[in-house]
Amino acid sequence: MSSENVTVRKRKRGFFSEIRTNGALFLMLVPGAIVLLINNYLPMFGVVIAFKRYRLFNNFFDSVIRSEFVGFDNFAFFFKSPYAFNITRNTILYNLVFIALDLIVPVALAIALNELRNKRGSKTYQSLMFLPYFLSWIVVSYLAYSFLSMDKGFINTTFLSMFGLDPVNWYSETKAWPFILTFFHMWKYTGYNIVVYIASIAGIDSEYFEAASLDGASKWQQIRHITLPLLQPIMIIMTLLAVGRIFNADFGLFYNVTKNSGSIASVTDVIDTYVYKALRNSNNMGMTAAAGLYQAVVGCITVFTANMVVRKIDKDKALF
Amino acid sequence: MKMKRYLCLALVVVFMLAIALTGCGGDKASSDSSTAASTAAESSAAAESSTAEATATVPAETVDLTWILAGPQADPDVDMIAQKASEYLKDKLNVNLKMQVFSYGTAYDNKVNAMLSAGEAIDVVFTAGWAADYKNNAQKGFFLALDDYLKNSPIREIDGEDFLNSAKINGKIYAVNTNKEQAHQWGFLLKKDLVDKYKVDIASIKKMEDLEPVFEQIKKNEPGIYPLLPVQMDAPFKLLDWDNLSADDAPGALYPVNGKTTVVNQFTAPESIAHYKKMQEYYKKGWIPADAATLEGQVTLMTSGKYFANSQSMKPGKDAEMKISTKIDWVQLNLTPAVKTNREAGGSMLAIPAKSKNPDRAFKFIEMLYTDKTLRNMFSFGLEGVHYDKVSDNVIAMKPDNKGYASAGNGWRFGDQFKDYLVKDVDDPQKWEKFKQFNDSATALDSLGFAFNPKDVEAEVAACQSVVQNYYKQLFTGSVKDVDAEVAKMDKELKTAGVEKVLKEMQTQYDAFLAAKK
Repeated sequence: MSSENVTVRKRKRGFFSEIRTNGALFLMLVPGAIVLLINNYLPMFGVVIAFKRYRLFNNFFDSVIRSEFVGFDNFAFFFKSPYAFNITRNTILYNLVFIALDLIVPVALAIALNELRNKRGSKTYQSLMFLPYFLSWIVVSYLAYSFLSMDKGFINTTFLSMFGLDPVNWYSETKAWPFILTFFHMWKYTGYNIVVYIASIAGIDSEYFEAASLDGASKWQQIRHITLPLLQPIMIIMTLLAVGRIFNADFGLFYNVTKNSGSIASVTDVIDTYVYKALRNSNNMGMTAAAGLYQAVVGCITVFTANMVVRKIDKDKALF
Repeated sequence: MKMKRYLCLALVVVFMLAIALTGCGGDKASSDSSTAASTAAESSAAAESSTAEATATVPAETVDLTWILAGPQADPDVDMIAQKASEYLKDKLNVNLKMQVFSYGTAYDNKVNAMLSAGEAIDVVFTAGWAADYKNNAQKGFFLALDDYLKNSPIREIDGEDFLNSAKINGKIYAVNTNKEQAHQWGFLLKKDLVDKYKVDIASIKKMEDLEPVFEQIKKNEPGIYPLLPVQMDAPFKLLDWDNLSADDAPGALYPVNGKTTVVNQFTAPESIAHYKKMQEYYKKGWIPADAATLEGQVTLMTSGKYFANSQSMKPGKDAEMKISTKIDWVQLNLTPAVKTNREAGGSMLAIPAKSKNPDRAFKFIEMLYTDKTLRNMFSFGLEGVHYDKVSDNVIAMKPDNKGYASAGNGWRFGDQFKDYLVKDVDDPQKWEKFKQFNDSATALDSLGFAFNPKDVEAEVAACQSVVQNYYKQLFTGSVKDVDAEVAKMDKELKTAGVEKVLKEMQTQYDAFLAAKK
């Protein structure tokens, strides 16, 4: 109740009195806001390119303005593709799996790490899991290759031959790739996601746990009734943020780790790799911009929808 | 309210990690439009501030001249060479030369196409039908028309009127052809030690199939050596010698003989299907590396010495040229007849990007690569005493331990190659005479000079290219289970992508071209 009174009173105060009281805070906001403006808002002007046949004139802005307007022509190449359905399905399904696993696995590991008595051990595990995040996908692709190579890879030469099985040409084995890609995604990003959840677990008041254990609650009960409910808001936020990018795929993962192998394209091609393959040779700014805009618009719609659903269920927990 | 607090916490953590890690993130520049737009915006700002500078024709002040070139690898020694060249040019052109070499293939295309569309101020750029697609980029206005510069230039005489004009697009020349071989033929480079060991009679081999007994022997007796190396587009598929009307991965080609004027889809033509089956047979026999479909970088793989034969575009002395860059002895096997096509006409050229700040001096520089023997040999072979030693006036010996300039010997990429030094014990002393003979003996195809304008079928061409990209590697390397099924699938997808519309448009344009020629 009291907090609501405060907001009501604040609203009544004018903009300038707000600046006067919180001047220092607003000043601190300025550098970040400028960076955001330059990096995220200024380039938005570029969406115009999606509707133009881009040609070079005096400078970039001039080029954008004077290029011929072609309406939705640039979007056509995407829908003319025989893969339009396939790549959309792949992008969404992979992202759904990633969103689900990125929620469950890091939360479970964060709780487990937090429960470890040996704090140094916990820190070591955490760092080790964080390490893959620093590797570029190019490096990871060669790591994967050292396992999956047909004639020199570890799996074929050591593992399968140990059981007397025939070597598998992994880079043309469509069935394996959904699992391989999921594995490498989790391997690379879990450590990063854990940090977010560990930070919020650390923020939970320890009195809750003390009170619960005095009342004889088991570890399991503490996790179920204290940790998880208190983590729920941040879990929702992280998920909503991920849902906003459901139409964007991790280019490095889908292009490099698969070694751009054509035989498995039906299960590994996503929107980003498709656009890259189709337009790499033709240097077509308009069509690439169109693909980017399409992804952004659909992502925007999904995130609003997801937020609406959350708000329907629990108004307090929605993002906006 | 509570949500806001958590949101803040989450955002702070994420942003702090993001800031701390941006330097380490290896995210490749993807097709994300927003990043492309932002880099473009930055560079345009830079370009704007400089347009005010006068483009002086009199070399009173030193200017930077940036030259982007394709090569076997990103050579570490180019800075050193560029610096020496700048010293040499001090009282001639007064430029501070900056060179960048990117390796052939996707690396070059990606970098250069991005630089061009962002309007970066580069001055001289290597382009070809197969690198930073000349026709495409010229039609999009990324290159400067050079006709005025060429009016009284010595390049006119060196290149010859016909060869110079073969670069014409809509009546204008946007890049100058390197004066080198003006025709091509396809064949194999075979590892010399194995040719000698198995006493291969080169003269008796007329087609790829004639090599089969040799492949068989090598597979049996030489563990660790693969008989045949197909890498991406550098595969024996090239021996079919399709006269491609657009990019190598876009459907639409003519048979490489005069008189046949029907545009066909070269990827599903009966000849190609027969070839895929042949390759599949070789693959099953273990003559082709098991992971051929995912290999990249032909020259690097050749240097490893683990492969007996690889398909190449031939000219007199190709074996010698490849010896310099791979340090392995090769025997040259020419298979297809020599023809003059758009492939050579756009095989190697230099263009001046539309955004160059000093086009006048850039053109003078290009001109000097045709006329100044000392200058062009710096780029063809590196520096005397560092990369090579002089034996006599026109003959040099490469230093065997040179690793910093793998481009050495690749003088075909710029200017007048006939002015290159000859390498002792490697090059034929008659090399340039043989080049001339080769040029004179080749027949010119009717399609020479035809430039397909994809304006009305851009979406279909892009969609078709994406289909070809998904299939060509496994078909060209024979690593498919069932050729017919795979081709049928590709054909169906190409039809959905609108291949028929593309071929029809090509046919219309080509017929008009032929009619205008008469």
